Amino acid sequence: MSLKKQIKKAYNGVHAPEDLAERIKQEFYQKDFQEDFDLDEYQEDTPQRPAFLKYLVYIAAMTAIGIGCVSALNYMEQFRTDFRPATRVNMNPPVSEVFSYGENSTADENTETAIVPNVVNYYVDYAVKVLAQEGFEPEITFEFSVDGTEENCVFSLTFNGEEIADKPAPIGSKITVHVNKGMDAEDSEILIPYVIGMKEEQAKSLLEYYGLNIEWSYEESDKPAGTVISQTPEKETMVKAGDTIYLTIAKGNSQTADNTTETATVPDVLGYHVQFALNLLHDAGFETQIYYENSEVPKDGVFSMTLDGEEIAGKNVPIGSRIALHVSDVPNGAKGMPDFLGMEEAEATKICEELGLMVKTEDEESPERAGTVIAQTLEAGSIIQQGMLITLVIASE
Amino acid sequence: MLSAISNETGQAPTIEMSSISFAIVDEYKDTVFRTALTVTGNFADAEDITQEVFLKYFQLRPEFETKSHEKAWLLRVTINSGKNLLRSVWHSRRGEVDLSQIPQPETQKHPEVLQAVLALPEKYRIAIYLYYYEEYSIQEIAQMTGRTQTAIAQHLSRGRAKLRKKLGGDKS
Repeated sequence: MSLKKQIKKAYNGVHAPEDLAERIKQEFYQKDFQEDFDLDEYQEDTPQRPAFLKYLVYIAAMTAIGIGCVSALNYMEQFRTDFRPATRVNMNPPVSEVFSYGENSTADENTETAIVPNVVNYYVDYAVKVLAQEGFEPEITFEFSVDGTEENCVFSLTFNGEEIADKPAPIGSKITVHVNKGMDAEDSEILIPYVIGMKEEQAKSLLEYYGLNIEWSYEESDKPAGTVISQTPEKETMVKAGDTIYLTIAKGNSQTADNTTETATVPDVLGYHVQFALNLLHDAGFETQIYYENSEVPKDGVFSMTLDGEEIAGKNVPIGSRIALHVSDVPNGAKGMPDFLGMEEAEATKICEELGLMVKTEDEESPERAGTVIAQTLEAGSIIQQGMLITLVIASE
Repeated sequence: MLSAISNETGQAPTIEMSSISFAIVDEYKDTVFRTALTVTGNFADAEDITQEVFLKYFQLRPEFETKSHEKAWLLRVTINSGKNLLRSVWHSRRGEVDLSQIPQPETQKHPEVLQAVLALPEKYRIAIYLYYYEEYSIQEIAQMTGRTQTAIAQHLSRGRAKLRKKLGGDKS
């Protein structure tokens, strides 16, 4: 029996409890809805009835409370906050608006306010729609939140820097909607960046760019102060955002640090893609000159770094020196990861091997033509580094 | 502009309640429950989530162009609610016994395959469930869960590999 059939069969045996519908009904009628969106949704459907009700509300509000307490708006504010939880109804329109219909207008009637719907934890598209319906101007900012909010969901609503959900705000005011942008790289593993020889700040910015945590330690060393002298894990390890990298930094060594010509360690970028190598070298303060030559290394990979004819990878050289990068030259060099989707397995594997990638294939039942690639773990267009592992998912019958 | 339906006695506003149809619960309760079970991995949490999802539905009363949009919405909300629950449980019980390691009596009544699926890591079992049971495409699952297609493909293949291993290399 195929896996699919087994799973189908197993899940078909799972049923919701018999009384679930009943429980939901009960819960629904009992639940004290504080954030009653259902009211506005409802009014969208049937515009007439609420208009009538609105009128009723005004009369009720006016007769019950209106005439008696024209005196102060503050008093009404107080009243409204006290009043609201008890009624389990959104007190919209707020009292200030009720007043504008009355014969005695108070000072603040011009600024109508409304309760800001609490759309925290809802998807941003929905939240913006609801806020706009209420007459607010939502402004979206994407931020990273660690409070457990789902990606692309609202985790906070602010107005002038204050939390505003469930509170009144002037209609038409700009409500800032803070949306959790989540971590893009949550799932994608990357080959660990090699930062030995880099300056402390460069290593920091590079690792933080990938969302990696850094533990620093300092040691005496003959390397210039502030350079990274060791990292754990070192090479050929796959890491993902949130992993911790342990770095050891050279402690101040006055002799090397105070040299008249400042030197820096050349980052060892052998085997890396030329673009990546250039970034690292420029960050480290070196100038570069690229030479394309034939070599065993996959195309666009750096296979040698020289200064005055000497191999200098990992060595100390004066900052600003022009380093010769010898880059593997293959005609029609593809810069990024090719798109293998739809390709025959054999062809895709061959290309991967030419690029110096480690290939793994997995079969998967799929409606696609058997033997073709239906997914790849490294996205098309991503920068290739030698030795990267790519998994190709192959369609099977 | 929102206006209010006032009810000063504190009772449920009855007018809009009467227009609610609970037919959707019967139609989708198994689907939502299965999804919730897949996300949370246990029956008690799945019941809570199912209830929560339908309450959210009635509260929001979203409108959909088609049936399949409606179903996708329910699944998406279920998955998110389940994940939120997992997160909060994880936070509050951090450092204590890992509950998923303790065999649960309800699960044992069910076939080995289901137990194996529920024993997978969360993201794998969600992918497996949506792909094999609900028969969504990788693309649709990616949209629904907010992940990339490649990530879903990876979850699927890894999940499947683990399943096969667990079920004794019973290859299809």
